[in-house]
Formats: sequence, C-alpha cells, structure tokens
Amino acid sequence: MSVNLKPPADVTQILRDWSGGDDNASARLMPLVYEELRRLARNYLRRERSDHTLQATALVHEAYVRLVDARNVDWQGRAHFFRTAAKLMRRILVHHARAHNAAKRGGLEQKLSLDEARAVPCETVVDLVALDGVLESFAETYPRKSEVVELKFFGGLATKEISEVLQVSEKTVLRDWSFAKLWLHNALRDGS
Amino acid sequence: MQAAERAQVVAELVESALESEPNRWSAFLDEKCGGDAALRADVDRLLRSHDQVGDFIEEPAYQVAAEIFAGDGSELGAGQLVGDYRVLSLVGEGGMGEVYLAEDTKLGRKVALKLVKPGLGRANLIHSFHREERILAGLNDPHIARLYGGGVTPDGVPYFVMEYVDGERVDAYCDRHQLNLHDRLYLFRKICSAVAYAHQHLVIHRDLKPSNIRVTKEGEPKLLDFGIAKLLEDETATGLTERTITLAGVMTPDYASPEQIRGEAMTTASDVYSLGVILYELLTGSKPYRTKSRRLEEISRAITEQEPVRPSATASNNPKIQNPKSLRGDLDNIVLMAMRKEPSRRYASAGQLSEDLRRHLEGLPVTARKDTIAYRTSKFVARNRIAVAAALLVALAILAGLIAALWEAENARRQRDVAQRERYVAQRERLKAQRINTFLQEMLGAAAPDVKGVDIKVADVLSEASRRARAEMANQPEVMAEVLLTLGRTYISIGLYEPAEVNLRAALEASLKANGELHPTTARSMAVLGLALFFQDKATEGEPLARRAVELQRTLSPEGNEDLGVALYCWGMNLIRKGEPKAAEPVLAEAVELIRKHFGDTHGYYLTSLTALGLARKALGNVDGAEILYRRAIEVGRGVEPRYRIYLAQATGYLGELLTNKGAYSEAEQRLTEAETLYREILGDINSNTPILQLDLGRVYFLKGDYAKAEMKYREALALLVKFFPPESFYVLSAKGALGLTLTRLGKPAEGEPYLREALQTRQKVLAPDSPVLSLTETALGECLLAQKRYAEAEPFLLHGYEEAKANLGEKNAQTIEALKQLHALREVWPKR
Repeated sequence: MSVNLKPPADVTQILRDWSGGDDNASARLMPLVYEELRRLARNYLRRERSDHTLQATALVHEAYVRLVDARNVDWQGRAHFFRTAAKLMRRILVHHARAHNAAKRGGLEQKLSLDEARAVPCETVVDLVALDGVLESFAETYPRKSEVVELKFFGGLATKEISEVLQVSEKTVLRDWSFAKLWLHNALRDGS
Repeated sequence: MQAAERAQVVAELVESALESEPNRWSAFLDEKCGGDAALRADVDRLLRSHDQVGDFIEEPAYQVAAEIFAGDGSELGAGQLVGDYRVLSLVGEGGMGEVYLAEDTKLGRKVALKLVKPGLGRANLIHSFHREERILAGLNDPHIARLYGGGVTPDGVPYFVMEYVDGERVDAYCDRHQLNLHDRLYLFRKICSAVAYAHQHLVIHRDLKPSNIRVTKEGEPKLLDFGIAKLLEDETATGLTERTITLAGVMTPDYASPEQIRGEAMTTASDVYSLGVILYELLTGSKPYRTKSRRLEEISRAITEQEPVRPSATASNNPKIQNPKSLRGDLDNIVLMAMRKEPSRRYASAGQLSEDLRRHLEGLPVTARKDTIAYRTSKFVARNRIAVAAALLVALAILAGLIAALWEAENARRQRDVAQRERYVAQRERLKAQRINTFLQEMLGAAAPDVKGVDIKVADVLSEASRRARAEMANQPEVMAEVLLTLGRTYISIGLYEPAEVNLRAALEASLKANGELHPTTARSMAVLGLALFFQDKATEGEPLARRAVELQRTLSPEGNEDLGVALYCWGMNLIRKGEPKAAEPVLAEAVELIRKHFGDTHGYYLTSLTALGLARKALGNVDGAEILYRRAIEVGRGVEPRYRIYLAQATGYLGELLTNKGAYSEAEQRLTEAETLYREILGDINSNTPILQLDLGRVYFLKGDYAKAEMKYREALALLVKFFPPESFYVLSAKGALGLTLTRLGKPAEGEPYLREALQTRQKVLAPDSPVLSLTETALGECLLAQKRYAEAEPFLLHGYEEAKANLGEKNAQTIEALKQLHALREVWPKR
C-alpha cells in the first residue's frame, strides 16, 4: 500500500492560488485531498478504537495538517480547504455507500462471498445515500444550513471552526444545526 | 409570503422554539403564528420529530461509514510476503475479513490466510490469539480445518493461517449432488462428530453456519474457524460502537442461539442449537423461522421468541424435497430438540444429537420427544434431572479427557528432561486446568438452578467425578485442587453439604501441598469449605477457616478483590451462626462493598451479601436496618440471573418473617406467600423451604387470631416437614407445638393435646433445661389442659412455664407476660390451695 505523501507545498500553493482568484485551483486540489482522505480513512479503521485523540480529531483535520503548510495559508485558504475537504468526504463516503448498496443487491459478484453476513442490512447506520439526496433538496431552500451539515457531519468540524469557515456566529451554527437535524430527519422518514 | 421567505420564517420559529422547553412551545407558537394555520402546521410537523431525532447524524459520517469504506479494495497483493507466507490470490471475503490463498514458503503447502477486518482488529486480538493458540492448534480431527498460526501484517492487521480447504459450502454441496435424506444425515453426523471432538477439547465453535462447513471433493466435511469467534468476541466486547458494527457487519444471526442473541453465556449447547438450524435447512431447504424481512432485529426476535415450524411441514411446501413425510416423527423431534430455546433442554452435546440420528437411521427408538405444552409442564422435574445428569456426563467426559492429557504430559515430562519442555508442559497444564474449571463451572452453573431437591443420579455422577479426580490426579495436586474446588462448589449449589465438605477438604489439602498456604486456590478452598461447614451447623470449625481465608486474601490482594469479598461473606455467615452478630456486621458490610464492586450491583452474590448483612443487623436488634437491607436485596433480586433467584426467595422470606415480628401482618402474609411461590418455581413443588414458609405463614395467621387458617397452614407444613427433617428437628417440633396450641384456641384442646405432649417430650430431650422454647411449650400444654378443665394437671405446667420464663427472659418479656396471663386464668377457676 502506498504511503507516499504529496509534497505539502502543492496543496499550500493551490490554496493560495485559490485565495488569489484562480478558479482552477479547486479542480487541482480535489484529487490530492481525495487520495489523502481515502488513505487516512483506511488507516483510521486499522487503529485502536480506544485511540481517543483520533476520535476527537476528524480526518479532515488530519489531512489538513498533513497536506498544508499552515504558516503559508491565510484563513481564507484554510476555509477553502475545509470546504473542499468536507465536500470531498461527502462525495467519497456517499460514493462508497452507493457502491456498497449495489454490491449488497448482488451487483458485484466478482468476489465469492464466504459469508451471509452482508445479506443482512445494517439498520443502525444512517443511510448515507438517502441522506445525500435529502441534503441536496435541503440546500435549495437553506444553503447555509446545508453547508453547516456538510462541514459538521461529513467534514467532522467543530462548531467554532464552522463559524470561522462560514463567517457566522457560533450561535447561528448551533441554531442551523438543530433545525437541519429536524428537517433532514423528517425528510428521511417521509421518504422511506 | 413568498415560498423562500416562508421557509426562513419556519426555520426561525423552529429554532427559537428549540431554545425553550417543549412545554412552552405551544404558547410561544400561538403567539407567533397568529391565525396562520398552514405555518403552524409546518412548524409543528418539524417539532414533532424532536423526540425521535436523538443522536441522528451527531456522529461524523466517516465514523458511520467506516465499515463500508474500509472494505473497499483488497489489503494484500499477489506475491506479497506475510511472515512465512506468500500470497497467491484473494479467494473471498467474509464477515471476518478477506481470505487469501497463500503458500507456506517453508513447508511448501497451500494455506488459507485470513485477515481480520479492520473494525474487528484490535491489537489485543493477537495476544488472546497466542493465549489460545495451543489449544486451537491442538484440535486434530480430520473434519476440522487445522489452525497453523497467526500474526500481524506489516500494516498492523491481525491474521490467522489455516489449513486451506478446497471445498464447497455444505448446503450447496448437498443440493448440487442431489444427496438423498440418508446421505445428508450421514454427512451431517460427521459434522456432529467433529463438533463433539472439539467440545471434548474445551473449544466451542460459537459461529457454526453452512459457510463455515465445507465439503471436499472426496465428500468429507471440514469445519472452519473453530474458536475464532470467541477471540473476536473477547476483543470487540469492549465498546458499544464496536459491538454494533460487529453485530451488523459480521454476525449472521440465522444460526445464532437464543442465548447468544441475548448476550448470555454460551456453552456446548449453543453449538448444538446451530447444528439444529443447519440440519433443519439441509432437510427442508428453508429457514426455520418465518420473518417478514431480513432485518437483524426481526430475525433476533424470531430466534428468541418464535417456535420453529416443524421441518416436515416446511418441507411439504417445498416441491424440491422428495419425500417430506419421511421427516415426520423422529426427525421433526430430533431437529426441534436441538433447537429448543432453553439450552438445558437441548441435547447436551453434539455427540448425543449424532447418536439420536444414528438410532433413527438404524430404525431404533430415538430419545427426542415431541415438545408439547402438557409435557413441558408435567415433566418439568424429571426433564431437568435428565438435562442436569446429561450435562454432568459431558463434564465427566471432559474430565476424563483432561486426565488423559495430564497423564500424557506427565509422561512427556519424564521422558524429556529438558527445562524448557518442562516449563512448556507446566504452562499447558495450568492453562488446561483453568479451562476445565471454567468449562465445568459454566456447565454445572447452568445446570444447578434446575436441580429439584436431591437427585441421586446427579450425586452419583459427581461422586464418580470426585473419585476419579482424587485417584487419577494424585501426581497433579495443583490441578486436582482446582477440580475438587469446583466439585465442592457444585455440591453446595445443589444443597449437598456433606460431600461438599469432603471434596473441599481434599481440595484444601491438595492445594496446600501444591501451592502452599498463601495462594488463591488455597484461600478459596478454605472460604468455601467454611461455607459448607456453616450450612451443616458446624460454625465452630467453619468460622476460623473462613477467617484464615480472609487473612490470606487480604495478603494476596491488599486492595481487595472478588475472592476477598466471597471469603468475607463466608466468614460473616459463620459468625452469625456462632452467635456473634456484632463481629459479623463489619465483615459483611465489607463483603457487600467488595462484591458490589467486583460482581456488580445486579449480581446474585450482591443480593445474598445484602441479605446476610441484614441478618446480622437483625440479630443486633437493628430491625429497621435489616428491613432496609432485605428490601434492597429484593430490589436487586428482581433483575437477577435465573440461577440466583433462590437468593431472592431467601430475602423475601426473611422480610416476611421480620414483618411478622413487627406486627405488619398483611405485608408479611404477602411476602411469605411470594417467597413460597418463588421456592416452588425454583425448586419444584416438593422442597424443604415450602413447609418452612408455611410454618411462617401459619404464625402470621395465628398472631392475627385467624386460627382456622393457621390450623390449615400448620397441618400442611407438618405433613411436608416430616419428609425433609428428622422428628426431633426444630421445624417439626415447632409445627407440632404450634398446631397443638392452635387447636386449643379453636376449641379443640383434646385434639391438640397429643401434639403438645409430643413437642414437649422431645424438646425436653434435645433442648437445654433453661431454653425459653421449653417453657413456652409448657405454658401451651398448660393452656390446653386448662381448656379441658383438667386444672390439677394444668397447674404444674403453667407454674413451671411462668417461673422458667421469668428466670430466663425477665418479667417484661412478652412470653413471660403471656405465661402469667394463663396462670391467672387458672387461678380464677382453680384458686391456689
């Protein structure tokens, strides 16, 4: 398994370009962050669950620390990074959840299943694919609130960080979050 | 309002409402929404789900999706070296993780290399694997896939290396070869024998299912993953999240036993259950339970609650099954017996299941019977005896296996006088000894609560086990001590205190020889021996032993552990029995604390330690303190494991007695009746506790003045008591005396007189002359004679009864006052001459 780190300078530079108005920067950033997030997520799962520091820190943070030379990036670059990373996390996770659902329905047969385990749907876990769908309609009416959800749920950011990224008060973030939870929960329930 | 604007208003209102308490929402919205009913409805609809939202999306998504995410892409590539193994190809992915075909570069053979899925793979897994490795690797049966080893990949992923089995799932194999009924049963019996073999080597599979049973080209079944489930469970049972993931991602509930679903202890009977389900499917082509969905919860509920449809009925709905009628009768009964909800009512071993199938195949009568409701209730007692005896037979077989293994080890030691080898052997023995004990305890512990009274067969099996342990383990005093200690505890748990004492003495002797005095086994043996002596009224001897056990445990574990808690309990009980409640109280208080800390506040030991402390307080005259403790014990008892319900019965009985003395007759009556019912439920209709409680109940009625009911209870009690206790015992004499006096008060003194005379005569023989009970009986007989107007005869009894009571109890005592009252009554009609 490759553990090669892309040189941090790349990401840092991209973020600075972006802050400087380079619209292609986001497209260049995506694959780098994507790779790192994927790698981290796999690594995360292999570690001890009792590793509290990791539980407290979201993957996005870890990716940020690894990829970005923080001294050379202003808050705007940082906000860009978190926004991008949260979107990417959302995309990665939803993509995999979708692939997984397809496999569960018998779409992927190349692996001989030795076990019936996967035939049992996992009831306790949020259906990420469905959530992604309702979050999209939520964003149409409540764009900022949906971004709070993206940053918090997919990006794992804390309230304070979200307030920095979105440039709103922490109280607003909390209010947005409490409303979004109700709305999304309702929408998911009505949808199923 | 525009739609967008309206949406903002809804959000605004909901958010503001959420900042106040739900009971204020209504007023708040009445004010804000005014007459806009549609707006109000939108807000209400969102707020209504407030209760259900809970933790929804509070946990970050990557954590939620972790499982899915990690399963993407294989860990190892072809040609990669893992330890001594070269990966050849990925052959599959199971609940546990990826499985690779690999080559052992040293031995050149092909092996299966199983990676443990990240969510399950904790660092500790590999430690526990090494702990169990020798035992698992020691499973040497042609139908069990060998375990070669295990380790950790450079990336930190734990893996197991197993015999590579090129085979087909058993169900697929049977279908593809269109095996007929006879051949299916023949194949299945081989599976049973492999499971039975593993059980005799103290390994429970815990995850038997068709995908773990492969059939080779030669048609031989091979069982995979023996003992692996236990390792995974041990390592994942720590965190809730992990357990959820484990359950959702790994466990296939279809073959899990009810006790496994409930998270209770698993025994060999759990494997028997899984075998039953597998056989069900092999015979009928369908699953045993009808569920609407394949949801985990629903399947789990079916397993714990639903009775499976008879295999023959299921098969008749399946056109593929050729002759469904052939399943009727024996095979229905055999499958359903293996699948019974209560472990103790299944076949006790895979061997017995196999044996019944053999009998069926040979046209002999089988042991499985149809499980009807009438049968379930009427044969309750007998059935449990059989189950217990069967469980003990299994235990005995295991014991025999252990002895053989030890003998072998001893031989090996003699032959190869190498220090390292010795260490290895010694370590293995210890390991074996620990395992056998856990196994025996689980087995016997599960069986013990169902024992009805004294069952001669159980006693026989136990005494055989004890005899062999002592005869054949003479060279292994360390192991012998452990085994005898377990046997001793088992005897206590079924109420056979004399053999308990014998075994525990032998255990103590062996442990002293092997381990010296300052050793946990020695100290445990002492404590439990103390308890056995307490039960036999030998507290004079039991008390110093238990006290020494406490001293030893304190030295062994200065901070105090569960053993110290139990030792303190044993000591405290002896102190009470010796009449030293003042010394007992702090001892039992400490026992209560330690037991709560180490066993938890829902454990049966905690319950009984509370009761014991209550007894001490009561003996010290602190009746209120005792009452609180009894009530707390009863509280604990409501949720206690079935095997400890007997302690609930005890606490309830003690509370009833205490309430009687307090004069709270109506609750006393209720509690005593509860206790009586509990004892009947736990021990069956005929048990020695029932008449004792009837005696207590009779006393409540007597004190209330309801003599008719009292007579009835005392008669019932007496009839049963004589079956359990010798004629000169305290209980029998109490019943006779009380019945005699009750009849006197009912106006039938002539009928009561013989009971009173018998009670008095025997008591004069067995009791000390100054015993208050003696004077009490004298007064009662005097009252009886007075009622018959036989004044001259009554006088000496009444006089002596009063004088003795006054001398021994004092003038203010209730008994003395009552005696004086009776004497006055005599004087009124028959003045002193």
